[in-house]
Amino acid sequence: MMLDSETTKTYTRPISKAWWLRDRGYFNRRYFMFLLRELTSVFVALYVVLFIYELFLLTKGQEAHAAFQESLRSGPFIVFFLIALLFALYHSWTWLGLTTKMQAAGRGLVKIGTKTLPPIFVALGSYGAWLVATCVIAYLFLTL
Amino acid sequence: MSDLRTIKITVLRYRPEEEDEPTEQTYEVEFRDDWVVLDALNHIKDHIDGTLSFRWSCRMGVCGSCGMMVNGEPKLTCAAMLRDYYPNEVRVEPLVNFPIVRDLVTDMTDFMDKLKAVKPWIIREEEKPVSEGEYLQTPDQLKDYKQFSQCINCMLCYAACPVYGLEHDFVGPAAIALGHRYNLDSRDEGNQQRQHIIASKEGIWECTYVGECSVVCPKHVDPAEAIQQTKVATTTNRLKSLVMPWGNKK
Repeated sequence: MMLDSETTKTYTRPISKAWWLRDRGYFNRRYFMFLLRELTSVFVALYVVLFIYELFLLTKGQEAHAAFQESLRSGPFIVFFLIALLFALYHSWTWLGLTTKMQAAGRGLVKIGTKTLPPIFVALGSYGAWLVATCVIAYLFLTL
Repeated sequence: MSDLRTIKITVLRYRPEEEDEPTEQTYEVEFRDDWVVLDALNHIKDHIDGTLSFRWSCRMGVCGSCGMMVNGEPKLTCAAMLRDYYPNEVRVEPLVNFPIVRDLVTDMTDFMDKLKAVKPWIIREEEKPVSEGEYLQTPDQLKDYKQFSQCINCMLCYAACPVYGLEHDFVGPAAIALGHRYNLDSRDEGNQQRQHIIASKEGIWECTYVGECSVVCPKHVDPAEAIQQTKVATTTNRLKSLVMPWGNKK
């Protein structure tokens, strides 16, 4: 219905700031999970800030760095690291899961000849690459 | 015929000549087992309250006219069975994220403008004469875009999309999916003409992938898939044009 906006008195319903908790009277789990995914970035960013600060302390000498590392072993930091880890896993898992969206059965972007590679292979490839990269980084951290 | 049962239907009413904001009105409707929400609305209009306004046409999930919020979810009311809600109350509201014109009727102008902007038709750089026949297509080429051509413009995806609700400049799921449908069509040559809308900040890059558009789509068009595919294709083309500026940029 096309309207003349100058002569028609329409009503636009406002959106609450807490729409992801209760959108106009109803809870939608997917909205909540989406916002949770967005929130993961905050924890990842905080972790990166901590990491950069730790690198900065290396320039202040071994003693300052060791003292800071010791403080990271305290309860609140461990709780923070656990939350950051869970959020990072959740974000990575859902982000890599998007690869199936670009590779829907029969009309995906990755093709072999004229045949579309089944989405499961693309997803497995993404998760596999993630796992390998994680193992390589973990190995480097634990051995170097 | 099964026994009649009575269900409460609460409808959001907005009569601009009488009130400044919407109010609620509850009706008690006797329904049969095979009634959908649209049947109840038609029953109210025909037998209880003739002033109730809503939009509908085909009653078979094809025209896309009867989209409304049913208990908070965007639904085609011709496909929402009352028995699935009974004995609870059913609450019917106009599609959210659109201005309300009257009762359950919303203003579609914004969607229609965006739909037109993505040029959802076949564009040829040069039309060949009719005497040369049709533009032929293989079944595999048809398969590339067929799913996205099933969109019935019901706008449920816009009502489900919080990004569109918060950022009205967003081109939105259905318009992008339909633009993508023509970009994928082997007969089309209009990709470049659509890119400045689809690949803009207000296009695919505004989407933060909530994914609800695909969940509510009654025709399984999966607009989220169209958006993600376009993001990958656009990025790949951009990289290709940087690495191989002499290559084909289409």
